[in-house]
Amino acid sequence: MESPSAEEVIEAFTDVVKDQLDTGNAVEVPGLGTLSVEHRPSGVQEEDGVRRLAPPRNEVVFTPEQNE
Amino acid sequence: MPRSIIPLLAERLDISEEQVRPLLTTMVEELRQRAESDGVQLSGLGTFREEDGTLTFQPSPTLQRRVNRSYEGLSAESLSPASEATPEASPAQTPSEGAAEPAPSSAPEADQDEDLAQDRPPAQADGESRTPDSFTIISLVLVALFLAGAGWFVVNQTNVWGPAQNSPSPTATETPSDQGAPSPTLDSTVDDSQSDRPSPPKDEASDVRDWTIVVASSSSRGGAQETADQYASRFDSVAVVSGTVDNTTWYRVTIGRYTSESAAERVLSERTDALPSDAWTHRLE
Repeated sequence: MESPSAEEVIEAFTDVVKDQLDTGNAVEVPGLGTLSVEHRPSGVQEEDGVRRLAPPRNEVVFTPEQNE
Repeated sequence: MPRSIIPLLAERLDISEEQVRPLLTTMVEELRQRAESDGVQLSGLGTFREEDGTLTFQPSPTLQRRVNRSYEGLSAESLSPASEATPEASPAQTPSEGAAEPAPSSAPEADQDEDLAQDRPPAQADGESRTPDSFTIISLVLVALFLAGAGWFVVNQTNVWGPAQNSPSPTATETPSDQGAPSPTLDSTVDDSQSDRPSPPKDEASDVRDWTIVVASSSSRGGAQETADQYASRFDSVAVVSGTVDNTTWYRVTIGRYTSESAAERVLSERTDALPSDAWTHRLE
């Protein structure tokens, strides 16, 4: 089997990461770090004297690999 | 527990993990080099950038929307009064910054609602003041019925309809011996020269029933009352009226009320069998 091109590797890389994050899974990339999704529940926020109830949301978090 | 990307890439590229590892290592090294300079953007994923010796990642809007698909359409709810509301944040657009970024939506609507609310209350108040409720309508109807009944009672009590009408009979007594007595007039308006006989005909008809037929006259109220009681069984409108003649109070027994002297005379002539022969017509004053 032929070795995939650099473009194919990058495209496969982005697709895999997006699919895993979409399903809520964290993905560890050796030499780079870990990409994950963290849930932020609904909560009250206050800014400039105005209090608002923020809806829940998911947040993409990247944790760089600690090496060297 | 994070999953390693190596087996996932191997499956996606349909190659072995051993083949994936060197390819992945080459790609990561290149990525880190570019991240140190200008940053590297992966389409549909985000941007890697090295800042202060630390590798950072900024997810792309596409990825943010993708991981927040289940919360699509939700926006921040203001807990302050509407007048103090500020533009709200859309979580799909700014998940990392929360509600800090404005989203054009509720503030103009809140202002519009306030304007409408200011216009509405007076209109409602006017409507309430103009529209009587059912309780008011029923009360007015009952008051009208009560007034009608009271008016009918007063009309009957005043004997406006004459002897043929059903009306309460005042006391009655007859003292035939008194029929030749001096004739007093009501409220002492007749002087001594006037007789008890009918006064000169006055045919002018009016709506006022001030003419009557006097069947008896007595100086005592009790005597007049007895006579009135006798006539009460045969006539409906029998009354005892008082008058003063020569400083003497006389009590007359009267039957009926008529609008003119001719009307009283007609009844007098037609009811000769029931009336004394010396009965006379008289105008009440």
